[in-house]
Amino acid sequence: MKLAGAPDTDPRLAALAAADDATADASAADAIVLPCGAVVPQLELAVLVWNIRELGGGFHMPPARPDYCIDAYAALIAAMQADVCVLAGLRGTPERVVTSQDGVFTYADAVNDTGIAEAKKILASLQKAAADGDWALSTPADSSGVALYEGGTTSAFLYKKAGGRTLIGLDTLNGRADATLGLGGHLAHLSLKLPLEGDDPLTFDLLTPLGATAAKGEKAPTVDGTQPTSFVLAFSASDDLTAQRGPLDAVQSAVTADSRPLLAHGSVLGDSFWHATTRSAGGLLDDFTAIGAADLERHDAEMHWEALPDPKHAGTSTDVAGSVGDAVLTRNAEPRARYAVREVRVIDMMRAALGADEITTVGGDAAPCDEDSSLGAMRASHRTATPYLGPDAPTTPTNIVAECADFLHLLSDHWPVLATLVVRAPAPAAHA
Amino acid sequence: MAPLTIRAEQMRALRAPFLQRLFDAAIEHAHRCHADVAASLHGDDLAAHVHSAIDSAAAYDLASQRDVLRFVSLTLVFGGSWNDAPGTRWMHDALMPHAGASRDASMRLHAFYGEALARLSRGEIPAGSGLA
Repeated sequence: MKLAGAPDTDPRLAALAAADDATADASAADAIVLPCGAVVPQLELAVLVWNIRELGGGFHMPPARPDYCIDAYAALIAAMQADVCVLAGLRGTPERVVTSQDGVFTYADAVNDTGIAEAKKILASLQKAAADGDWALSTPADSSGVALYEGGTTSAFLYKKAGGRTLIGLDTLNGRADATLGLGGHLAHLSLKLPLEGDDPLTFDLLTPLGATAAKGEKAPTVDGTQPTSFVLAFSASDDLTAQRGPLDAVQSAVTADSRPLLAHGSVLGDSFWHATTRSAGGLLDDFTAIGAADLERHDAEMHWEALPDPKHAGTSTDVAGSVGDAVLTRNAEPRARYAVREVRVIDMMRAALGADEITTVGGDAAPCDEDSSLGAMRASHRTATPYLGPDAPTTPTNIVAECADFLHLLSDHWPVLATLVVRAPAPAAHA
Repeated sequence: MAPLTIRAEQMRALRAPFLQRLFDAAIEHAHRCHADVAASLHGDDLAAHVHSAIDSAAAYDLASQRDVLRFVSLTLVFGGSWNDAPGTRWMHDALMPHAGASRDASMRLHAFYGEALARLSRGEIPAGSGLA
């Protein structure tokens, strides 16, 4: 007998509940033989994302970095065994080109591709440091080969050709402009074909912001590509992403990215105690930060007065503070996820800059890693070439960290981020 | 010794008898547990739907007979192509290996099945979107 007043049950609920009971005795062993046995065709890919601030010149940097910096970029990419490297922050140098015809001079605004020239130097150094990778460089350009910029900035991709990897294309897509994050409205899209032994090659789609916030009235770059269904987005912002979740949410929504593993460590190097203090404390009569930049003992003695808080200096690489400005996002819109992020970590550039003998005292308690001391020789060159570091500074842990920080600021205030990705084949039809 | 590589056509040959058994079981399951839906599909429509559902199940890395039958049930109730419609997008997302989700596809299906039952019991899934 049916109960009076009993609520109607959704027939779909009853059907699904009954179906669940009916499958209880079905085999839990694999019935579909998946490709390659039970293993989905896939490979692991290491992508290094490095925002090299003002590579090619800018307000803080000259058009050409010293050779030891170029070698440092290449040495780190080689040490991390990256397969693909995104270089963001490449600048062009505005210039005025003068032409003369029949005694009439014509002036035209142009851009000297100094940042791309620097990237080519990095490629040349990388080809020596990791010759077996057969590295290549690709930069966004229009159909006539003219480099594309947004806000005077562009990006570049270094990728390994070894193992038969080939470039499918590099095009430009619409993205999301956000002045807070220093983003223009366009993305650069690299597409690579990755051979897989015994199976069809995989396609790898990597997106990154083309440049920076566009200037008022700037001509937008030509959009010549369409957004791939699934992709990896390497993202580097000028602001602290943990403090500005809203703009990052908007960027994520604009490309409908579905995964956002934010870093657990800072990727943007903060200023040292005295640099920050001199900006905020107008009462300081003398500023010794430009004299003996790696002599914190002297700064403490000369600049500290009782109205200021006690100086706080990093004595190990783990004490160095910064913020999160970089992220790696994925979008998986196909039934089988094409991309999985196995690990994203910030390269500890302080450990990279330390000499092998300094790692034990200044390197902190982190486990040994690939970057350890990979830039020690380049830091030594920086010390030789930089008199303002203070040649007579005592070799204390705080001074070593300060000297490393000075060298690292020259490379970039952003530390590179290494994303270890799993790239998987799209799902084949079971009846294929 | 050089490794042996199983070619695609060999893999298809290996897979064929398993798929046929699975297909037969899924058709029987549809008639037994979703008789009204199965009856409403004309001609070869039921076979086509089950073929498509088995393909989708493989794409979500569902491989066991039990998981595939449960997945077929879900497609008979809610329809296929969950990724295309806003109302069913959450179903697709539930089976995707997102960060925070189980690494095991079978576990994701189990959680999703429970969630679907819970939402149906709360009246949160409007009727008319699927085949049922």
